[in-house]
Amino acid sequence: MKDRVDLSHELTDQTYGRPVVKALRDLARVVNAQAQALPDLAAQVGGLASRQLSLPQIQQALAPTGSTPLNPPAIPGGSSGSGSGSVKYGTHSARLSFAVSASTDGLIWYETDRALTYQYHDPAGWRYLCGIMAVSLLGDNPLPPGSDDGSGGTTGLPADSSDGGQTAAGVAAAGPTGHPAGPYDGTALRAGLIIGGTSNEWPLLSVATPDQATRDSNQATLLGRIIWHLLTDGYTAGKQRNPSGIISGDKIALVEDGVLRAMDVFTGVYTAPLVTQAIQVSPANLVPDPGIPD
Amino acid sequence: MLPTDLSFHDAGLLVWMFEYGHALRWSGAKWEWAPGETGSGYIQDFVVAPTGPGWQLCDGTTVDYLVVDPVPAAVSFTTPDLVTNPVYARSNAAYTGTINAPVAPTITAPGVTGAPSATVAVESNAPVTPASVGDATHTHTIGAITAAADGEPRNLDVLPFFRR
Repeated sequence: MKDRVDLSHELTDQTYGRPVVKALRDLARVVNAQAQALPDLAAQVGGLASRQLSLPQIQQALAPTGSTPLNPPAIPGGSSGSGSGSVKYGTHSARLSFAVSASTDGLIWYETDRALTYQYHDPAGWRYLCGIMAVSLLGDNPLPPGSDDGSGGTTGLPADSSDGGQTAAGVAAAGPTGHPAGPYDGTALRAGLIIGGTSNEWPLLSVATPDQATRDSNQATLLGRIIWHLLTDGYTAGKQRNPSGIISGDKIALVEDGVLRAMDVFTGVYTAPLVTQAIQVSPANLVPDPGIPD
Repeated sequence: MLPTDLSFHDAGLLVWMFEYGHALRWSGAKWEWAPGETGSGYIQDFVVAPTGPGWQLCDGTTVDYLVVDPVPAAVSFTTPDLVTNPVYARSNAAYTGTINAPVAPTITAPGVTGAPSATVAVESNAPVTPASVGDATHTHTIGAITAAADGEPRNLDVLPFFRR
């Protein structure tokens, strides 16, 4: 690279004895190198930007309707092969009553009551993709494990007992408030003392109620107060997201003994007092929540 | 209950019959055993009792088992009591459920008629003409040979279970 600064003679710094011209040449070399690099960098950035989709293109690709610039490969039996990119879930009957059309071609639907997955091919119709449905020969079929039970809970979550029942033991031995004596120690037993104590601290939230809506409201409040008491004591705690994706209304997730666990903390129908418990379930999936303070 | 609203759209659908421990597959027109299924209605020996709902110890208990043809249904079956009456399996044209009584083997004895004894020359006071004695034939008879039907070949005790 040739310098663009022409220095035809050399001077010497009288104070330090340095060759001034050499210093200026070095400086000029650096400046010129940068001047050369910047256009190259700009060209690279421009090239990258030109290969990205614009925001309208991305929006159009993700839209369930309209033309899509990101066409997947054609599907045998499908009319357009465009695919809508849509995924839905719901019951079997909801799938059958869902309004399908060419715009929903490629739609994938997970049946929450059968644990089966279908895809809609337009105009051929629905096609079974995968999943195994548990059925009884003559009786009612069980809901898939972890599916929504219709009240914010889940059915058949696999039990976990890694806490050794210590959380439940704490609930049983809980005092009158959610502020047990002594410092935070992170144990399952102390967490249980807080869970049960909070319930004792707010007894009106556990009384029988005239309707389900009142029970749900009281239960949600008590759940929030339990989480706040756990957080205040020093635990990492929050709400529990069920495998179905729904945030549970009767479970919490917390870290005990350094392990993330999920606890089913309520049981009972609204016509009877709400029972606070600590039945460990899995898998734990903590959703941060500040809870409800005293 | 098995879904009744299936069609060719559902071909390949798998269901788990948890009461029997069987997987079925919807062909698009009817139910069939899922790939890998060995079906039901047979007796198998175990060294450890199987777990799960699909097996019944053959101890005389009446259970039902799953059939899929022409449609999935339960068929009642009384298991043979092979615990009280250990048996060896024998092939036949059909299963009857009857534990057949043991049959004693038939034993055929060879002829027991003895051969004539050899002629022995007895000579004394020679040169008197020797006299032959003991040259008459004679036979020995024995009683009937019988065998009890309680023999046992080498055997190994196992647990017979019926696949429901």
